[in-house]
Amino acid sequence: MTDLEFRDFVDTYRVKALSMARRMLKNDEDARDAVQESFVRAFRNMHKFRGDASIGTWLYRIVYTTCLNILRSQHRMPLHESLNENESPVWIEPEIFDTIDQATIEDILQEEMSAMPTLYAVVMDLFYVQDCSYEQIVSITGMSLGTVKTRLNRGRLMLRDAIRSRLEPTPSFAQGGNQ
Amino acid sequence: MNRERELIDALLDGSLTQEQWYELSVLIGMDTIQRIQKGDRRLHKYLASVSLESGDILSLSRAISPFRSRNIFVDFFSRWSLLIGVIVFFCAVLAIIPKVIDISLAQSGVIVYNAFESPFQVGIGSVILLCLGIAAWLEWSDRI
Repeated sequence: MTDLEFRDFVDTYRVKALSMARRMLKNDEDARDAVQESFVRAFRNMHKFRGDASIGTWLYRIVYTTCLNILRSQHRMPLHESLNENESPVWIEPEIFDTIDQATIEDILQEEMSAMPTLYAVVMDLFYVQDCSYEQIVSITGMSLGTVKTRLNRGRLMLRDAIRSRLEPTPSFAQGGNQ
Repeated sequence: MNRERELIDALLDGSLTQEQWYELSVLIGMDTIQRIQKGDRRLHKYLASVSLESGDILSLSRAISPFRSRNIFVDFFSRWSLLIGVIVFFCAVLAIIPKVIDISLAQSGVIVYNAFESPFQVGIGSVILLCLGIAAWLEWSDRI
């Protein structure tokens, strides 16, 4: 890869990689360092990229590993709790977004994503922000498919409950069709 | 129920096939499928919006420069300062030994012996270099 191609690569992925690192590290300064270190690693190891996965997936795996290394060095490694992988899928009713103004919803989501446990937040970020499929998330994080689905379900549940808690209780939301 | 769960997961992942689509519509109804999709699209839009704002703060030159951050030096010295201190101390001790031998032998009238030609000294030097090499490798290697 030439310097020019690498420049394009950085331009394409730097914002998304930073979002992912922020979700994992919960700290802007650490996240910037992690992303810069990840790009340096990607640059040095570009010859090892075989094209088995997309280059984005490969980069996200480097970012994920780099963030875990930082968390380990800060003694903040996330705990891998055992999960029930047979939980029902959770989804958010579209009407819920019409009941509060956009700025408030964005504030709620930002707060909840920042407060969400690391391994849930990173899976949510990979799925909703980086547009990764379940299989890609498995490849990036090394989690099992069932764990990825469960973390996504619980992440959605946390966000849904946070939005609902700001609403007046109404019968239609109280009787949601899912969990 | 398991099948329904599996199909809704596939719907959310965007990997639902045409046949599965019909199967799911029989199980939960087309209206529910559309509500699930619409809700997920809106969540997608909002999360992308809040996560990607003000993210463009990395400079390319910093991103690809090995000297991109002073933190790497701070990290290096905070991690290896004890080892470096011990090595420097040993070097200082080793530097003094031949002088001491030199002075004491000169005073006793014996022919001066060059301590640095000793295999023991060479061995100590090799161990120090090995320690430095391992420290540098641990710090700089890519542990991906």
